[in-house]
Amino acid sequence: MERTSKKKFGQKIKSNLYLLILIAPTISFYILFCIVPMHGLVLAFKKFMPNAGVFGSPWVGFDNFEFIFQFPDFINVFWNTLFISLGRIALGFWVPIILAVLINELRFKKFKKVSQTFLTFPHFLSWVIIAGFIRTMFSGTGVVNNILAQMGLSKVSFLSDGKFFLVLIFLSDIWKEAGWSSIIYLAVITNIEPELYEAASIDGANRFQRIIHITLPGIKSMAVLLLLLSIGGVLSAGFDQIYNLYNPLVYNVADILDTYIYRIVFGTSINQGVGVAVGLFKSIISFILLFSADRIAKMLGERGVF
Amino acid sequence: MKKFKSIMIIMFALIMSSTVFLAGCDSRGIFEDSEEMGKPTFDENIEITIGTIAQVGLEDQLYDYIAEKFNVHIEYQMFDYNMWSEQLNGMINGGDMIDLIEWDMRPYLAATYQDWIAGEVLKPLPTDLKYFPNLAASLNDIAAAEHMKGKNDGKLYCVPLRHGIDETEDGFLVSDMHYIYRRDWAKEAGLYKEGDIYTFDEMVELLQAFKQRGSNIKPFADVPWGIPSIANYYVTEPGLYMKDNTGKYAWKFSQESYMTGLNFVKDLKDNELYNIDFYSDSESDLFNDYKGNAIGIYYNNYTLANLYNIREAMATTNPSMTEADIREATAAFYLVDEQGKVANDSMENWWSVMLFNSGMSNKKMARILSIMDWMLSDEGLYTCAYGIKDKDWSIDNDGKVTVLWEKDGNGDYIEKDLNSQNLRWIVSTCSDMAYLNPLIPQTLKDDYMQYRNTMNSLKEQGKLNFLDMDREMQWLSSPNKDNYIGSFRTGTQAAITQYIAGSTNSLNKYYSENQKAINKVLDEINTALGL
Amino acid sequence: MNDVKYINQNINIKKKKKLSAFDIVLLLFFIFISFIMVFPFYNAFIVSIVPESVYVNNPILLFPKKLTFESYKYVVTSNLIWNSYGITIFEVLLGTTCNVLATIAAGYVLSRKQFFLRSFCMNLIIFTMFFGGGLIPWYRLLISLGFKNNLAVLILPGLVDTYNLLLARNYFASLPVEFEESAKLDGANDIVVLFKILIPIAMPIIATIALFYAVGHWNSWYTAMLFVTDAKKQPLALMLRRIVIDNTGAIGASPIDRPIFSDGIKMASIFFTMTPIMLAYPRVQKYFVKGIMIGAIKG
Repeated sequence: MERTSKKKFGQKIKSNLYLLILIAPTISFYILFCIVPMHGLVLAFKKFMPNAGVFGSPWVGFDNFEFIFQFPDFINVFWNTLFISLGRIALGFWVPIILAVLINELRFKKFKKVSQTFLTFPHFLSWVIIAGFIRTMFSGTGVVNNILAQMGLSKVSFLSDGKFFLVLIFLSDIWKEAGWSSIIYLAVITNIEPELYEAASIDGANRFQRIIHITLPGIKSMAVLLLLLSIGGVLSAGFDQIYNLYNPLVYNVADILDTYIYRIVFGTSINQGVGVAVGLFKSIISFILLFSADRIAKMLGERGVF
Repeated sequence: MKKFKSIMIIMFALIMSSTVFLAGCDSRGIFEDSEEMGKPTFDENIEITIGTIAQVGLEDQLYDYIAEKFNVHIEYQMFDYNMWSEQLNGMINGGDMIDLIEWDMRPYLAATYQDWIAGEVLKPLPTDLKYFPNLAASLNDIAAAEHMKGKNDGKLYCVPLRHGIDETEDGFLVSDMHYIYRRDWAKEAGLYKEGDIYTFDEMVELLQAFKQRGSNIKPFADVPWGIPSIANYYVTEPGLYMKDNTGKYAWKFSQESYMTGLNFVKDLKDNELYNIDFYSDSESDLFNDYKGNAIGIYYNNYTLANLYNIREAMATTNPSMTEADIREATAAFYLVDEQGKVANDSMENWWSVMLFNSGMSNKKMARILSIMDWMLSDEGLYTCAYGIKDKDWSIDNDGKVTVLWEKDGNGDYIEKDLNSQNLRWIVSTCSDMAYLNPLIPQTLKDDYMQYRNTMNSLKEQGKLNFLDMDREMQWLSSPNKDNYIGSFRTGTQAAITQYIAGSTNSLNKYYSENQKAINKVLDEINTALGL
Repeated sequence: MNDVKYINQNINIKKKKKLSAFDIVLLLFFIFISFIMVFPFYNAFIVSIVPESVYVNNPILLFPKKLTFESYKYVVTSNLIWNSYGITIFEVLLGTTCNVLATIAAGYVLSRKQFFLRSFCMNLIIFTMFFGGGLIPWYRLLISLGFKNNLAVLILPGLVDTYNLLLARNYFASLPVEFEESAKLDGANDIVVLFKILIPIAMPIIATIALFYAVGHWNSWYTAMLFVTDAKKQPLALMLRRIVIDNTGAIGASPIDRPIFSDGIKMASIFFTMTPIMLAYPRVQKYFVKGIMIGAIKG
């Protein structure tokens, strides 16, 4: 028995030899730079001492987790994170798709290229810059409020009102990333055979019908993949964006896990183990979420991530 | 499921095998040295890597002079001020520390400091500093250095940087945090008071006049970390804890005195006299606003550097203003309460510290200490400020220094390439060196000194509400006090901001949510201090 | 004998003589969208070419009367900038090539159902998406591997981005199997199949991934901040961060800085960084259109 299974294994390697060669660099990368550092996860249960390294540092059990969970704000912050992330996904998921479909339908070739380029511009700006721009526009002495004052209306504190603030977060995120994300969908759309379109128009389908029955199904699997991936990242609700835009008056709605932890850990004597503990907590929850979403997708017949 | 299991086993094995790999390179020890600790020798050329937040260039004659004089080769790395903590922690936690690094040490970081000492990350100074008299004298002047000693061996594991210009006995200086204001606007409104001294009512009047100047005006603004500056008039100590009338430490934000100050600021805000964007403006936003003629009274560091920067910036932004106009636009503002007292936050005569890598040899440390010692001497100061002795500056028998730089047609000094002068940052925050800078106008130096002289004389007359800190309390390291300092600081600052914006229950709410932790901390403090 | 059919695909060849109302509406919509995208950039560009005195009084300016190139001069005359430019170009070219090769190869392999380690590898990779030991062990690992001040740190630790890898995998999985099958019948092994046959078809996804990686390299600064302390080896994004953020001139902690027009310089450095990408991107666009496809018709 042993010999046959060894032989089978040897055979498997032989028949897959070229595939193994092709994937070797990537797998080595993942093992070396991603798996090996995972031994640092134990720091979530330790108090880190620099010269002792990861293994010499003393164990503290669940102290790190206890420390974080005891703060009364923690639950609120957790829900904020979920709300902002899911809101982002819900609002921002379909915008790149619509943009890609519409660009594809655009007749004027030159303008198509131009608008595609413009749509991708904001992706290159960092949130530091965009936040500065938003504050110049919407602060108490900013442009929008100046216009309101001149029209005789009272000033609005956009940046300190939770509702306005969240709207700004969602809209600016779409503004920044939708165009860039639509590139992927465009790449997929160009892969759809034109014969399908020709055949459909011969059969009498009009433009909208062609979009709905050919274009959209064509990108469906890509869309599902990207949706699943964004659900997997739901606990990282955009540190850069929030950190550069928020202020204490909107903490109750805008504070997410990452900004909250950053404020507490920054400039204190808390050991690094606390940061790792939070990371581990986020990882576990995200993993569970993605796993569930993947199951649902598979039940609906889609490919899934795993 | 079987496949899943095999995956898990393989991954587990991978992770465990990495332990073998890393165990070897993971822990480090102290450098075992035969050479006597402390005696400097100069025969061998040594390479020193230094990291601070100052901008240093190493391509000028001054660096060549220093390198030759001490027989060293210096590699310099600048810390990004905004990511200082990340870079430094990354270095230390990553086991990758260079020879000498600057750390923004604060009393509440004492536990981390002691952890690093216990973990053998840092190298202590020799107990006898006989070869380094200037350094010894400087450390003697720094009263807080007592608290920077290792708990177990009483040795000093860092060199605090000298800060400030004035001399002091107890290590406390009048702080540079102060108000700067538009004296020109006050004169235009006919509300200028002699000597720039205003009572609270007079100030409110002034702010209302400023408000009339335009809808974009921010009559009164505090730099973000200084909110609310007016509270300093009503409290006795900086920080989160203050002695109440029983003499024990209590939560500052429950004290009536503090709330009086905070309510004053809230009233300013309600009357639209306070910065409307106070909750979101950053320091550079406010800097832009001030030079853009949008702020009337501004609370920030009234240092030589800041004064120079704001005046230069205003000159560039407002080409029609003369130098005299700009001085009128950046005057020091003195606010007095009913007892005629001015408030001042106090600062210590040190700021941030230099840490030595424990893996350093005694020879290298001695070399570094001798450089530090020289930089603290008069000759070192003048050399770093002006350049090479007898070429760029000279000193006569009475100790009077003459600057020998070239002048241009207008009689102003021509700038020299002295980019390496900030190497002196390893012993001092160089306010003294800045004061000697020949490029800074004398009028500016005079204005700055006038501020310091005024405040110092007020202090002598007992007319200063001076917030010196209780070092015993601040440096106390106890479990709960250390654990909660971060969240208390940010949480109270947020609650204060919300309070000023109108949520008058925010501080009470914060206190009731965190009462248990707060009381634990206060117990620890009061027990340790025997109160 | 295989017939080889060349299909030159260009969607825009479909020429309709008449424009429908939908087309007009679409055009207007995109003009509006372009305006929203471009306006902040226009504003940023204006800020980069006006003197400070003008900016301070009108932060949102449409038609400035006075122009200056001071801000650009400040950025461009910093002598380390051009050195960093070279470093970044090196990183983008070499790095993107490595990234694309590794990612495409792995994506292809993972899409082949006959690969016996397929689910093992997928699970390994997905696992790493979520769980990580954090900064400390990763930092210590790289230091012990000798990556301090070594330019390889700009390429190797980020060799594969899982997101891009999944895109590649899904793309290859969606291609019809006939290409591979008929090539294998002719005796080609997997490597030949990938490079000679599938890559021309997969140009859209390759171009996409290459673009993503290239832009990532162009803008990356974090790894360099941690590991490259030698100023002569620092990439552009890091150098610009230094210039913009460290020289705002208003922080009281550091010694006297030269006061500068920080917002103008920020904007100038943004355009300095972005312009090459903006110029290169339209040229990459043509790869998004399906290239020459070689298909085999049996019999």
